[in-house]
Amino acid sequence: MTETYKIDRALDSFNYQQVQSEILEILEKGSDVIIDMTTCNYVSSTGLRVLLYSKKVAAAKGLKICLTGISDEVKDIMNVTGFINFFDYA
Amino acid sequence: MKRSKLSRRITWRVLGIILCFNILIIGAILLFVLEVSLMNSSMRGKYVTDGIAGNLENMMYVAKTGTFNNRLEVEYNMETPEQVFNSLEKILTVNTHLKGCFAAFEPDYFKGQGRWFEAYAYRTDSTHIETKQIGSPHHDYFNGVWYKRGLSLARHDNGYLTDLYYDDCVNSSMYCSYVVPLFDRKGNKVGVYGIDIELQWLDELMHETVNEVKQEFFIDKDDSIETSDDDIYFSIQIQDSQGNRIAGSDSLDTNILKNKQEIISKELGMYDLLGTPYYISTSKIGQTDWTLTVFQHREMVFFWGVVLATVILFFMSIGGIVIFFFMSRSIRHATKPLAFLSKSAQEVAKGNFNTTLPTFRHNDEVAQLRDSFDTMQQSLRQYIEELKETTASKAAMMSELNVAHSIQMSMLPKTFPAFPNRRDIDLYASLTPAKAVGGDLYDFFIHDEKLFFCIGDVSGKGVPASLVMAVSRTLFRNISAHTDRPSHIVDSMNVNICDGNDNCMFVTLFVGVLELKTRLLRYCNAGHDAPFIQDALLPCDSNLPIGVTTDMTYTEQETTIPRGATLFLYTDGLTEAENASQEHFGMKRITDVITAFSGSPQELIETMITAVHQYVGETEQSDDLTMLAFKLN
Repeated sequence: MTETYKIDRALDSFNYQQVQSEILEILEKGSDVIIDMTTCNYVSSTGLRVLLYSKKVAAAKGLKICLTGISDEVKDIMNVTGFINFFDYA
Repeated sequence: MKRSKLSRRITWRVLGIILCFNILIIGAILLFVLEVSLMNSSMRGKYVTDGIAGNLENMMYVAKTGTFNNRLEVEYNMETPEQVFNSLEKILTVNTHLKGCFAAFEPDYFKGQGRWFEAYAYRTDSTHIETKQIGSPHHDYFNGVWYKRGLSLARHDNGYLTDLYYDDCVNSSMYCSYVVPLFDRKGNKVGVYGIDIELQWLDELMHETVNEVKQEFFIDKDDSIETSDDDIYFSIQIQDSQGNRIAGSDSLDTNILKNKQEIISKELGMYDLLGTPYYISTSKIGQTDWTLTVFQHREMVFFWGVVLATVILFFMSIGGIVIFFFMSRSIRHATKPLAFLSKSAQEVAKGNFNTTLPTFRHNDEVAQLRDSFDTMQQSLRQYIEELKETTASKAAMMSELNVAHSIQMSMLPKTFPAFPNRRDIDLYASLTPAKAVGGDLYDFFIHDEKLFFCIGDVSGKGVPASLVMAVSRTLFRNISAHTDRPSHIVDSMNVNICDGNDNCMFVTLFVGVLELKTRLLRYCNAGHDAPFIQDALLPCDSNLPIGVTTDMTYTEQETTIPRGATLFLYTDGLTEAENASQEHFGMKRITDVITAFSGSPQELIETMITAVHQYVGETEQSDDLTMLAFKLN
């Protein structure tokens, strides 16, 4: 079972708590998550932590999290921080 | 500001309404009273005219019929003067109401009696009757209007009624006479027979009536004083068919009757005599061609109306004052609780939440207001209590955070110039947390002619980040004491941070070790923003931040820094500083500042801070802002 979760505009300190709890909710149901970031053009360090934390929780449950539709801006951020190779992509 | 009183406002409003209604009522009453006054006067006028005219008419009728009957008596007995006197005396004896009667004959009718012969019989008192011959050259009756007119009549004609006259031959009194022609047995006119109708009673009746009316109106004046028309309030006048005044209760000028008249009451026959202050009622007197007119002065007509209106106005005013007094008292009484409540409310507003509210007897709106107020007071008290607690706990927390801030700041080297004894390096750093405590860190020290430095950013902000920051800074100090290889330092830190990192806190970190003599810089970048070397970015490998995973080997890079070059390190609080439109400060602006700048590291960082402040304006600082720069000389 796989569910797609869409992040709009940005993933930063303004919405990270909401995004994290919603992703965790999906994981609680025992579902893999595809995070759709087509319309998301900024991820802060706090946002990266959400992705990281979600991935760890998923791994602990034997579930998968993968990203899709990463914009160039976000890709740059992921490059700088080295997260680019840390995630799986759909 | 003058405080307006509710009770006074209500009182005035109610009073205003009552006043309006009073004025309407008074207006209606006045109209009614005027109407009734006119009607009353009309009735009075008709009563008086009918009464007097009726009396006069009756009298005239009796006099006339009597005259025709008695004429026969005279005509049968006019052989000799004695016979005439006897018949006249007989007539007076039988007709007790007659004052006198007479028979005047044509010239030389009785031989030996001379040219004039007029036999006259009259009463001296109730029992005595006297007779005498009054024809003489001094009393030349042949030219008298009454004689001529009497003689001109036919037998079947009505008699001639003379005007009223005062006769002072016998007794001073008002009379009129009624004359008919006398005929002899052959049917020839030989003289006239007439009776005296004493009208003293008419004069008396008119005066009596006038006096009665006057008494009714308290106009208790002596007749003699009534010299001018203005003083005549009630008058009775009799005119003949030509409008000449025959008799009257006073000397009122009857010529005013020629003025225009406006009808007041057709049924009761009253008219307004325009141009004069009088209302008139007229009546024809039967058996005569006379007219009786009653004059009523306007002031008299409306006297009682004005009195009544004044009395009503007076009592209404008294009533108004009484109503005002009681109403203002009761309204004041009713609104008093509001004043009490207002006072209590002010007490509460001053902060005395334990103010006792007044209690009221009636469970009306005011009591309900009081109850609502009570509830509000209790809520307020509770709310203030809660607020006090919250404020206290917040203050405690704030003071704790302040302590934490000082502790955190004391972890960072803050004394500048950092190396006052060295000329080859000039270093400056700045850290501004977005909250009391933050997750950014920097550190530097020179050991063994090597400059160890680092800059880092813990994911997130505030207290959680600050804890990780403290750990990271401590780890950096401890580990760098044992190795001068940046990659080793980062590796060791990563392993330590990952250990038991359930919250996935991670730290982007740049660690560099600069050999000051050779200016060789070895560095390891764990996911941090690449620093500037002069106006270019330092090439950096893409390594994960520390704390993410232990399955990570950090790569190390090296470069030689040219003499005079400046290395500028920063955290994402700089690139991501947001203005009101949530737009980032961005790499381009950083590059612009650096490109345009030449000076000391401290000046560079201060210029950068100024640029950021200008950019974000009043917007709250969104992230911790940390910068570190050094220049090799």
